[in-house]
Amino acid sequence: MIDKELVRIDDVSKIFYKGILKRSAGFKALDGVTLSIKRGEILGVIGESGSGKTTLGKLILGLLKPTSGTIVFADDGIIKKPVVQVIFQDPYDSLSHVMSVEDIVAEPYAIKHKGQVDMEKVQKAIESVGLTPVDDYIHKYPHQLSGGQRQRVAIARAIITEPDLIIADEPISMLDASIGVDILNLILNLNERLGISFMFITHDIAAASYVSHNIAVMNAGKIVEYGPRKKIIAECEHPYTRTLLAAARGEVLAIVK
Amino acid sequence: MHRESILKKLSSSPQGIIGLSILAFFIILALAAPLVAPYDPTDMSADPFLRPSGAHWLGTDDVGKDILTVVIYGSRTSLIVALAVSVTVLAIGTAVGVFSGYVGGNIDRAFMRGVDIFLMIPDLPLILILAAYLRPGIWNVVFILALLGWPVSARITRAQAITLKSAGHVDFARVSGGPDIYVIGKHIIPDLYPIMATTVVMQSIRAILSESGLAFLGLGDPSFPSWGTTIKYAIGYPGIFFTDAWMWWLLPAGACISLLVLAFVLVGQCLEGDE
Amino acid sequence: MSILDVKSLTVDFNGRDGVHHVLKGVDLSVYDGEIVGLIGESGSGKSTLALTALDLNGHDRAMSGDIRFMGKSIVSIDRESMRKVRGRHIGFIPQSAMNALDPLVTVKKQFLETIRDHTDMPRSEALRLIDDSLEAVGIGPRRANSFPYEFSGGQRQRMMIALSMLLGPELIIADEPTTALDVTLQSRIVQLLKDSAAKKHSSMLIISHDLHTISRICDRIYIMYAGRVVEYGTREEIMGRPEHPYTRKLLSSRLHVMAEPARVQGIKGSPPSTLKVYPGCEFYDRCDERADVCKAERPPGCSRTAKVSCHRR
Repeated sequence: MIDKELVRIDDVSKIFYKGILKRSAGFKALDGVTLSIKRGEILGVIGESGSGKTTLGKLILGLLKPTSGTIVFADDGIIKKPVVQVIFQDPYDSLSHVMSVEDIVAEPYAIKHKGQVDMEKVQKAIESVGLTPVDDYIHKYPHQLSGGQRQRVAIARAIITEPDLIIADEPISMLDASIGVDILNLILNLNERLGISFMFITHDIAAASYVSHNIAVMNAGKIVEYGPRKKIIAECEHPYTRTLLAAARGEVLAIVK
Repeated sequence: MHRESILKKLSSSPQGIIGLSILAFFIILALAAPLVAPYDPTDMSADPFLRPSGAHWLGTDDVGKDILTVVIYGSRTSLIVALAVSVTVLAIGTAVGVFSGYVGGNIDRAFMRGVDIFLMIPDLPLILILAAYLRPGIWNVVFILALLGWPVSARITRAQAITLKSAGHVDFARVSGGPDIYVIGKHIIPDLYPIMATTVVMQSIRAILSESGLAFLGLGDPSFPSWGTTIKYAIGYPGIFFTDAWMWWLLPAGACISLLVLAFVLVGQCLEGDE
Repeated sequence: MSILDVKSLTVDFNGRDGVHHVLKGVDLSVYDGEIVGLIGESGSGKSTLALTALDLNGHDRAMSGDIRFMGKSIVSIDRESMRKVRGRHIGFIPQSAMNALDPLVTVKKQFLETIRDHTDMPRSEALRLIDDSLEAVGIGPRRANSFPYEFSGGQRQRMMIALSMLLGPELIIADEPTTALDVTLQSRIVQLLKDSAAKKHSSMLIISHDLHTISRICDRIYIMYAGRVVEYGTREEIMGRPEHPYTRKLLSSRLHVMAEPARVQGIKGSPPSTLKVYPGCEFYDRCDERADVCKAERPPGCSRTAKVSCHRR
C-alpha cells in the first residue's frame, strides 16, 4: 500500500450471472480493473452508459462484491479504515420522502452512534452545503425542495460522519447546468477545506475536467487510459478518449447504425 | 402516503366518509352490545317465531332467541374475525414478503416456491377437510382464513419490496452501516403503508364473507352468535319462504353482512383513489 | 408566415398549497422553416408552454391569452379537433421520451397505430413509411419488430424522433430531447433533430435548460425566467451579444472541457417560487446588476421592438 493511498482496487472483475447456478454465461461489467484513490485526491472516472463506472463505485461502497480481484482499504492498525460515503445521481429517489431534512442528515451519525443525534453537527453540515438559513430547511421534506437543494441535502448527510472518501455517482446529471456548477464548486470546496477525497463518476467530460486531479477513462468494463487531468485532456493517447473529447467539444460524429 | 395523511384522505372524500361512518357504527354496536341489545344472546325464554313487536323488534327465531340481540352480537363476531384475520395475514405476509424480497437470491426463490404451493391449494376442499378435523370454533375459523390468506399478501409485499429495494436512500442507509433490520424498518416498510392499508381492507372483506360462508357450512362457532349462522339456520328451516318469517329472520343478517362489506369496499376505494 | 404564435399566454395551476403562476404573459413565435430554442431552468414554465399549446395539461389549469397554429386559434377548439392536430400537424417529443414507448408493444405496431389514427394509408405504404423513417434516424428496418426494451436509451430517443415526424407535421415540439443522454450522444441527437426537420420541411420548437447544446442548431432563441420571456434574438445575438443578466450568467456558467484548473461561477440562489407574486423583477435576488427600481417595479416585457426585459438595459 503506497503512502497516503485510501483504497486500492487490484485486478477486479465483476460478472453478473443470470439463473441459480453460476454456470450460465454472465454479463461482465468490470474486467480486470486496477486503480487507487489517494488522500485528498479527486479522481474522475469517465465513461458512457454501460462502461462499468457505476458498478465500480458500488464495489468500493460494499454494495456489491467483486467476482475476482481485491479491494483493499488503507488500515495499518494505527490509522483506522477509511470512512466511505456516497452521493447518488437521482435527487428524487435517493432521499426518503417520509424523512425530514433533519432526519436525513442526522441518519449516518445516528447509525454509527446507536441512535444518538448530534444537532450541532447536523446544523453545521446543512450550513456547509449552503442551505442557509438552516432553520428554513431543517424541517422541510424532500418534495418541498428543488433538485439542486436535494442534492445539497444528500451532500450534507454524506459529510456528517467526516468521511475520508465520497463516491459521487453522476451527482449533477439530473440538474440544470447552472445549478450543477454550484454543486461542483461545493465539491471542490469540501475537498480543499476538509480534505475529503472524491471519486467523481460521470459521462460528462467537461464536468470531470473541471473538478478532477486525475482521470480514468472507462470503456466496456476496462480502464483504457489513466493520468493527470492535463495529460488526459490535452495529450490523450487512447483513440476512445479522443472520441469522447471530440464529442464533448461538440464535434459531431456520423450516426452509428 | 404518510400515516397521517391516510386519515386526511378518508375524511376528504364522500366514499371515505360514508365508509368510515358505517364502520364506526358497527364498531360501536359491537362494543356496546351488552348495553344496546335488549336480551342476553343465550336467552331462549321467549316463544319461537314471534313476529316483530315492541318486545322483540325483529321477532324471535326457531329456538326463541331475540333476533335483534343475535344480530347485534353478530357484529362482534364479524369484526373480531375481520380484525384477527387481517392483522395475522398482514403480519405474516409482510414479514415473509419483505424478507424474501429484500434478501433475494435463492432464499427468495425458495420462499416463493413455498408460497406458490400454498396458492395452488384450492380453498374449499382444504376448508372442508380442516372442518372435518377441527372443532368448530371461531379461532379455528380465523386460523383457516389466515392460513389461506397470507400467501397473497406475501407475494404483493415481495413485489413492492423488490421495487423499493433499488431506491437510492436504501443503498445510502446500507452504505452508512445500517444493519438490514434497520434498513428494512426505516426505509422499506414506511413505503409499504399504502399496500398494508389495502391488504387490511381486502382481507377484512374476505374474512367477513368467508366467516359467514363457513358458518353457513357448519364450521361456525355455535356459541358465538354470527350473521352467518343466523342465515344458516334461517335458510335451513323447512318452509322458511312460505311464511313471512324470512323477512325478519334472514334479511337483517344478510343486510348487515352487505353493509359491513360495503363499508370496507368504500374505504378501500377511497384509499386507492387519485391522490 | 408564422407556424406557431403565442400571445400574452398566462397560465395558472391550482395546487393543494395555492395557485401556481407558471406563465405570465408570454409572447413567442415560430416561423416557417426555422428552429427555435426555448431555454430556461426547471420551474421557468418552458415545459408548461409546450404542454399548454398541445393541450396536454388541462387539469386544474386557468389560462388566458391566445395560441395560434398556422393562423388558426387552437385555444378553445374542441378535444377531438385538438387530438387531430396533435400527431398529424404538431409532432411532440416528450421529456424522457425514451420511456414514452409502450413496453408491451412492438415498435412497428406503435408506429402503425399512429399512422392509422390519423390517415387512411394502406398497410403496405405505411410499412414502407415506417422503414424509411427508422432508417433516417439510424435504426435498421428489420429491428422494427423488436420491443422497446431491446434498444438502448439513445436508440429509443431516436425512435421517438422518427415517430414524431412520421406524418410530416408542420411543427415539432421537442421537450428536453437531450437530457438523460450521455454527453457523447447529445451532439448526435441534436444534429439528427436538425437534419430530420430539414428533410421533412418542418419547423421546430426545442425546449431545454441546456443553452449550449441546443443553440448549435437554433435559428432563434428565447430565454425564459420565472414564467416570462426575458430576452430573445437570433443565435448570433444571444450567444455573441447577450444582454439580459440572466442570459449572461447562463453563458458564463458553462463548463467546457479544461486542461487547467479554472473557477466557474454558477448562478447563486434558487429559482423563485411560483406561488408568490413579485412586484418587481423576479431575477432580483440573483442578479449582479440589480438596482432599487428592479425590486419595486416590473421591467417592461419583451415585445416586437424590445428584445430584452430589464431595467438596466
